[in-house]
Amino acid sequence: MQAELGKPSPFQPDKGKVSIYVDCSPTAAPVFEGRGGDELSAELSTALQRCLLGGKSGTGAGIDLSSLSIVEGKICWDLYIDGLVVSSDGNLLDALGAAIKAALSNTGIPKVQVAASAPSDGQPEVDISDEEFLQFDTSGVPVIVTLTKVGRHYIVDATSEEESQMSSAISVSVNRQGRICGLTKRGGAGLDPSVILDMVSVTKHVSEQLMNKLDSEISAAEACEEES
Amino acid sequence: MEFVSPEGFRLDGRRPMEMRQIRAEIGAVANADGSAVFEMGNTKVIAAVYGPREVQNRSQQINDQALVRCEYSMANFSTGDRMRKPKGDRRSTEISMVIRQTMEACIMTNLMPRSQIDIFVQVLQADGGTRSACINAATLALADAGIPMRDLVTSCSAGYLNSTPLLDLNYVEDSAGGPDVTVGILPKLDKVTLLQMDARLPIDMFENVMQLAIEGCKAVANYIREVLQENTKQLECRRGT
Amino acid sequence: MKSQTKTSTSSTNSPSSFVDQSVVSSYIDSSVLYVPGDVVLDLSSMANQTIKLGGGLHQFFGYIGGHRMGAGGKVQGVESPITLSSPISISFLYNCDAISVTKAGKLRFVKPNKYWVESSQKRYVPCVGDNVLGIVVDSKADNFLVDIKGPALAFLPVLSFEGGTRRNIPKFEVGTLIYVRVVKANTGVNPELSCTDATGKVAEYGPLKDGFTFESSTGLARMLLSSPTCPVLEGLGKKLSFEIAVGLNGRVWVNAEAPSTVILISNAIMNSESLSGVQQKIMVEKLLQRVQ
Repeated sequence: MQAELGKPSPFQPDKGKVSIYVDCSPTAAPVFEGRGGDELSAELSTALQRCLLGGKSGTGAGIDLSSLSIVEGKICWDLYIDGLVVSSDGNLLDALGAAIKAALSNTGIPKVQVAASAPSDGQPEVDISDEEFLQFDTSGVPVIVTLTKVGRHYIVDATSEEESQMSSAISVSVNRQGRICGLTKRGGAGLDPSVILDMVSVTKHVSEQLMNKLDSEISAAEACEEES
Repeated sequence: MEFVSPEGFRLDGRRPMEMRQIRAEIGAVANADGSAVFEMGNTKVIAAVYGPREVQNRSQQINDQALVRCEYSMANFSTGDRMRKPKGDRRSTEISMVIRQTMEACIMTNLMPRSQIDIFVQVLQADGGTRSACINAATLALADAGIPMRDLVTSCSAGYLNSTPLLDLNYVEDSAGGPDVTVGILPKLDKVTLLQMDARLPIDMFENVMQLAIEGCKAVANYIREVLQENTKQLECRRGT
Repeated sequence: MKSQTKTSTSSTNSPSSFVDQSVVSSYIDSSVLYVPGDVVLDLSSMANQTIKLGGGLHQFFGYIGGHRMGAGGKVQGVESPITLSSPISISFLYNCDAISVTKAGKLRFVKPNKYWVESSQKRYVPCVGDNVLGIVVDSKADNFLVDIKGPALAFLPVLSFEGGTRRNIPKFEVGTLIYVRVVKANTGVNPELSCTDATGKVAEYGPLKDGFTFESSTGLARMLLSSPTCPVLEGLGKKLSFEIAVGLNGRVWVNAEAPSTVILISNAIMNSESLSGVQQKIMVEKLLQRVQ
């Protein structure tokens, strides 16, 4: 996670900006060498953006963007989320979603003080505090669960061997309240709408388990860090 | 700026001849034939080796030895300022070539003609000495993959600031503008395979700084040997042989 | 680092390696494991003895002004070796032939004169006489191209089947799994395979149908093939009936009546890699209990 000061988009002056970028390292597979991993990286980046950041108008984002705003219309935080795939055995999207959630819970945005007397059209002066940090609120951040359809069954958390046989897959991002924040379907095979609804409800159920497990692991890790 | 205090302490509290903490782990990437993570202080590097296997591009096949390929990439979060383009820039290409030449010298390529060995090195955190960490990680990954080598290759860097030779520079010391000597050696054969230096250094000090780096390399070699022996022991003991 | 000068009475240019048995056996320490570059046998040329070098060892000639390399032998012995590790502390030699290690692992010795370094890898080094599981990648006029996880694809001549003539060449599709024997394995040449044993009979070689294949390390494959039967297979064999084929190149094929049995057996074998004999028995019992 990296946060830099930037100017908010004119369409959403009261929100910060987040950009997600995923890179596939050749250590995961020799085919990712040079430009080989670019296609997969782009696919993962856009899928993550769709699942976590909401639509073009910025509404319904899983990550609360208004908390990143400093001075409405003038200054905001640009949050860059960078992911790197080092070792791959299937189900990258779920793993990346979990990693982003864990990283966000560890992110602290420095407190910023805005100079009171600011010229009306120029850039206000800001003073970035080195000491105080605001912990990012991750209770609203969704978790991504991918269901892969192989033959007539759906499986959760597919390995790459299983993914090689899939006909299609649905990735759903669900937040703590059980609401769906984003949905992506991959694979060319057609799915019956009733099947899709069924898969989505299975995902909601699984996501609860995943969310609980993730939260407990994150708090355990934080406790360890505080001790050491 | 003062890099060595009058009492003899560097910016991070080390003595001039003291190396940073090193840590290594074998077998981090499950898919790879051999892999390792190597940390020198805050510099963290992961290396994966694929091979020896059939050459993918027939035109590059060499008839009497193995083709060794290497790619070095930095994660765009590895340095303090986020990098826009993690691959393909000139520094990455140069370091890829340096690592390839160093490892090729110690791999017994004539035992596997017409095959291909891929070494991929990924920098996760960069805090000075990335070149050395990459070579050390690549050595461990190659040993993990069982690729025949004449000897291990270990590497370490040394510099010269405030009239003191310093071992294992971190990023701040490296960017101070003083010389940075990177050395790679074959410890058992006692030969230098890699020697690079930038900035200026008086000739009479060069030998001291190089010797210091070589001592650092030998210390890394001892550590790597221990890690490999521990790894072999675990595999053997558990199988009850 | 100590350097030691030795006076050798024989020429250093002789092609075969010489070792003094008494020198070697006086350094028995079974806790030393080797790492690439370690010198293992210092060849003082007291006695005229030939030794055979297996995988992981290489002979280096004199060190004056650089080193020239000798060719290493490629014999491999496998059964119940005596572990011998000699911690020669000389690391820099003048005027001497030396055998040094090229792979990290444990040094093995079988009387009278075979030495090799044993280690476990994901890829395979082809050796004559090994039984391996290969996957057909392509078929040409004279050969099938088979992937055996080695540095090069192996050739399986279309005629090397029992009663094979030009008229009844078997048709293997790409992706067929076959159990074969390695006939030739020289560096620089693609290894050659055969579907018959030395006398020309079929003897269980050939394509394998159904079942499930998974990859393992070469060390796990050796353990599965060791005699007496390893604890995992023994434990599984007591309660379940299944067929299994293990390739020394790190591939295992399992077949049983029900898919659940196949999955159980595969998982048990994959888990047993890093477990000792007793732990393997316990693991198998736990898995079997869960099923029944």
